[in-house]
Amino acid sequence: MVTNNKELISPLQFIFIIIQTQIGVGILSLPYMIYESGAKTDAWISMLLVGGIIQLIILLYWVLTNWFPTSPFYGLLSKVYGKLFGRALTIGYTVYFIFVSSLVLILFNFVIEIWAFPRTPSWAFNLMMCILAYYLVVDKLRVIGRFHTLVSVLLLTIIFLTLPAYPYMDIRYIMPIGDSGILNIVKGGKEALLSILGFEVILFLFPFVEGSKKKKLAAASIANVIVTVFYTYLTLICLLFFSPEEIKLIPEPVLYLLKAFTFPVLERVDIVFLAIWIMSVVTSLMSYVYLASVGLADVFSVKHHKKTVPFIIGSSFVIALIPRNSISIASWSEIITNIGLIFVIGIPVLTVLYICIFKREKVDQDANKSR
Amino acid sequence: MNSFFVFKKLNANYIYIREDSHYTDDLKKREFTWNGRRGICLFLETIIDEEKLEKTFFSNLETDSQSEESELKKKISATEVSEIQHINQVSNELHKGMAAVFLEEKSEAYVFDVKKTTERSVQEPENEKIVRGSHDGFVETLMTNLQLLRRRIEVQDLVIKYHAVGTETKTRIALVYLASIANPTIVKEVEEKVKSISIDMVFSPGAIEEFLENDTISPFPQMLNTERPDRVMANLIDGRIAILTDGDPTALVCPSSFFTFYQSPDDYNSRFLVGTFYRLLRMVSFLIAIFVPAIYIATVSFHFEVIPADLVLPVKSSVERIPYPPIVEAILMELTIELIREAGIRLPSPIGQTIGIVGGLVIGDAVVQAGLVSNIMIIVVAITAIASFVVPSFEMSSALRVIRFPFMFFAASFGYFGIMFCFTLLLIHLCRLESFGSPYFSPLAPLTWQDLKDSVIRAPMKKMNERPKATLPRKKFRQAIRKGRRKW
Repeated sequence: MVTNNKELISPLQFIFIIIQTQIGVGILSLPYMIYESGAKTDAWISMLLVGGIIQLIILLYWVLTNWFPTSPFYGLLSKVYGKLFGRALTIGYTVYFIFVSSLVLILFNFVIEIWAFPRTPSWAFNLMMCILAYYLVVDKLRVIGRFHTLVSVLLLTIIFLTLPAYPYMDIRYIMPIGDSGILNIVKGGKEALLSILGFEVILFLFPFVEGSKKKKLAAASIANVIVTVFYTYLTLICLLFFSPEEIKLIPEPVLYLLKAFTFPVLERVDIVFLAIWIMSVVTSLMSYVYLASVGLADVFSVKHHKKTVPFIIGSSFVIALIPRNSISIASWSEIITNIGLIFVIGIPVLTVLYICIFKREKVDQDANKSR
Repeated sequence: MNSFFVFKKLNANYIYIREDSHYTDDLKKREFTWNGRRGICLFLETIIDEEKLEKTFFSNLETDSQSEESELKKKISATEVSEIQHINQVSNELHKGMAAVFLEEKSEAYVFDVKKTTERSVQEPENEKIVRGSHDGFVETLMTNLQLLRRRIEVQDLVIKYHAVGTETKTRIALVYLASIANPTIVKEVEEKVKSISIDMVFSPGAIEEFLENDTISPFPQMLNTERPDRVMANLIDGRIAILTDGDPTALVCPSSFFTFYQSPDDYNSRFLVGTFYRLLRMVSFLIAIFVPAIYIATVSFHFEVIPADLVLPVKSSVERIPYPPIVEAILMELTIELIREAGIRLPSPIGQTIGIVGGLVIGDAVVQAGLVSNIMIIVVAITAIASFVVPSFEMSSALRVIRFPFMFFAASFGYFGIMFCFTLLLIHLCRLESFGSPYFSPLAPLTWQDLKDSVIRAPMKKMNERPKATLPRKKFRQAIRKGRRKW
C-alpha cells in the first residue's frame, strides 16, 4: 500500500484526520453517557482520564509502527503473524470497520429522526451520507486529509455556539469534585473511551505521514490533546449548565443546551447546530470507510482502494437499513464498541507483547533493512 | 504528399501553385525583370498589404542600379526572408500572408511576410472594467497581445512558445511563461497537452480550455479567462502559464485556483484595508449566491421555528397567500432572472436596458400583485442575482448560478440537511479538483497559511513576500528585503 498510495499527508492533515474521526456522532450524547455510567458530576474527570489513557495507547502504536516504519498496519499483521493468520486479522479489522460505519449511520439517523425529520425514511439520509463518503474516499488519502482539515473550522463554530451558556452556569453543580469515587470515575472512563473511539486511525496512518518519527508522535499527541480538551469542555459546559437532576432526563444534553438560547437573528440554534454536526458525522464515516476499504484491498491484493470502496459502502448501507428501536440500537452500539476495544487496544497490545517475546531479533533486522 | 522542387520555368511555378490552391481567384501574379532576368511575385491579394509589398520589394528593385551583380534576396527588406526549395511549401506560406518571389532559372523561391493586419485598437475590455489602473486590453491579434505582455515584462526570462492547433485552421497559439519562476514540470505538462490537441478548428479559447483542463464535468472553470494584460502579467509572475490564441482577445491562465477568480487588479490599487474589504465582500457574495435562496426555501418549508419571533409575522403573512410551495416560487423567479439576463446580454445596449426594466421592475411588481410569488422571495432572488455578478470572472459567476439550483432542490426536500449535503459535496469536489497538479482549492485545502495572504484577504504589499505555493514556483520570494524591513 505504501507503493500505490505514494502521496503522503502532512502532519497537519494527520492531526485533523484524527480529530475529525474521533469527533463524530458521539458528541451530542457524550456528557449524558458518562454521567449515566456512574461518574455523575465527575464525568469531566473521566474524560481527562481517558485522554491520558489514549496518550499511552498512542505511544504503544508509535512503538509498534516504528518497528516496521514502511509497512502499514495490515501489512504489518501478516509480517508478524504469517500470511494466513495476518490475513484473517485483516479481514477481522475490515468487518469491524464496516460495522462501525453502519453504526455511525444508525446513530446519525436516530438523532435526525428524533430532532428534525421524524417521517423521512432512514434510507434517504443514509444514502446521502454514503454518496458523500464514496465521493471523497475514492480519492487519495491526501485529498481526504485536505477535506478533513478544511471542515475542522466548523468545530470552532460549535464552541462559539456554547458561549451564551456562560451566564447561566453554576459551579455548585459539579461540587464536590471527586464525589463519585474513583471506581465510578474509572467506569465513566470506559464509557468515554467508547465514545471517542476513532483514534485507531493513528495506527493505520502512521506510515503515510511525512516527517520524522518524533514529528508524527507529536502530531498524534496534539490531536489527542485537542480532542480531549474539546470533549472535556463540552462535558463540563453541560454539567455546569444542567443540574444533576436535569441531566439524567436528557440524552442529548449538547442539543438541549443550545435549544435554550435564542439569538436576535436565530431562534433555534440547535437546528443549525445539527446541520453543522452532519459534517462531523460524515468525516468519521469517511475515515472508517477508508480504513475498511484499504483493508479489503489488502485482503484481495487490489492495488488501489478505490475499487473496494463501493463494496464497503454498500454493505454498511445495507446493515444500517435493518430496522431497530432505541433499545436495540443501544445494545447494538454497545456490542460493536466493546468488540472495538479488542481491535483497537487488545490486538495492538498483544502484537507488541508477541514481538517483544518471540520476534525481537527479526524485527530489528527488518527495521534496519527498511532504513 | 509528394513534393516538387521549385521549377526553373516561371510559368510552371505559377500553374502549379494555382492548381494547388484550387484556382482561387485572389491569387495574383506580378511580373518584373531584374538584371535582365524575368521574375514573378505571387501573393494572395486578400491577406497581403500591397503598400507593404511595394515598400519591401518593388520599390527597392526600381531605385537600385541593376548593373551590380548581387543577389535578389538582398533587395527584399523584410525582417525574415526564407529560401524555399519545395514548391508545395511555398503555397502553404502564401496562405499565411507571405509573398513569394520566383526568378527565372533559379530553383528557389524567396518568401517574406507582407501580411495585412487589421486590428481593433487596444482598449479596455468591456467585461473586465476596473476603476483605477491600466486601461488597455487584449485585441484579436496575437502579436499585439504578446507585445503588450513583453512591454510589461522586459526580461529575457519571458518565454513565448508557438504551437499551431487545428488541423484545418492552423491557428497559432502562444504559450507564455517566465522561465525562472514557472515550474518546469507544469510547463511541460501544459505544452504536452497543447501538442496533443487534435481538432479541426480552434473556435474559442473555451474549446482549448476543455482540452487542457483536468475535469470537464466540474462546473468550476479551471483556467482563468482574462482580457487584461496586467492581470496576465501578475499571474505570470506568480509562476503561472498563459495561453494566448490568435484571433481571440482572451488569455487562458493556468494553473489557476478557486481564489484566482476572485482577485481583481483593483484590489492592489486600493489601500490594503479597502482591498481586503472588497475581497471579503466577494467571498461573502459567493456564499450568498449559493446559500441564500436555499436557506430561504428550507426555512420557510421546514424550519419555520428558526425565524426569530418578531420576524415570523411578516414572513408568514407574505408567504401565506401564495398557492405554490417555496421551491416552485424560487424556480419561477430564478428562471425569470436568468431569462432577463440571457435576453439582455445579446441585445444592443438601449434595448437591453429596456428589457432589464421591463423584466426586473414590471414583472417583479406584477408577479407579487398577482399573488404568484411572495415579496420576500423577490428580495431573495434579487440579492442572489446581484451577488452572483460580483465575481470578477464571468465563468465563475456562471458556475455559481448553476450550482445554486441543486442547493435549492435539496433544500426543498431535506431542509438544512439537504443544504449541508450539497455544501459538503461541493467542498469535497473542490478538494478533489486539481488544475495541472496544483490543488484547486488551495490555500484553503490544503491549508497553506502563507498563501491566505493573497486569497481571502489582500495583505499589505510588503507582507506579501512569498509567491503562492500552489503553483510550485522556482523562486520563492518576491522582494529582496525580507520580512518587510524597509531600507530607508
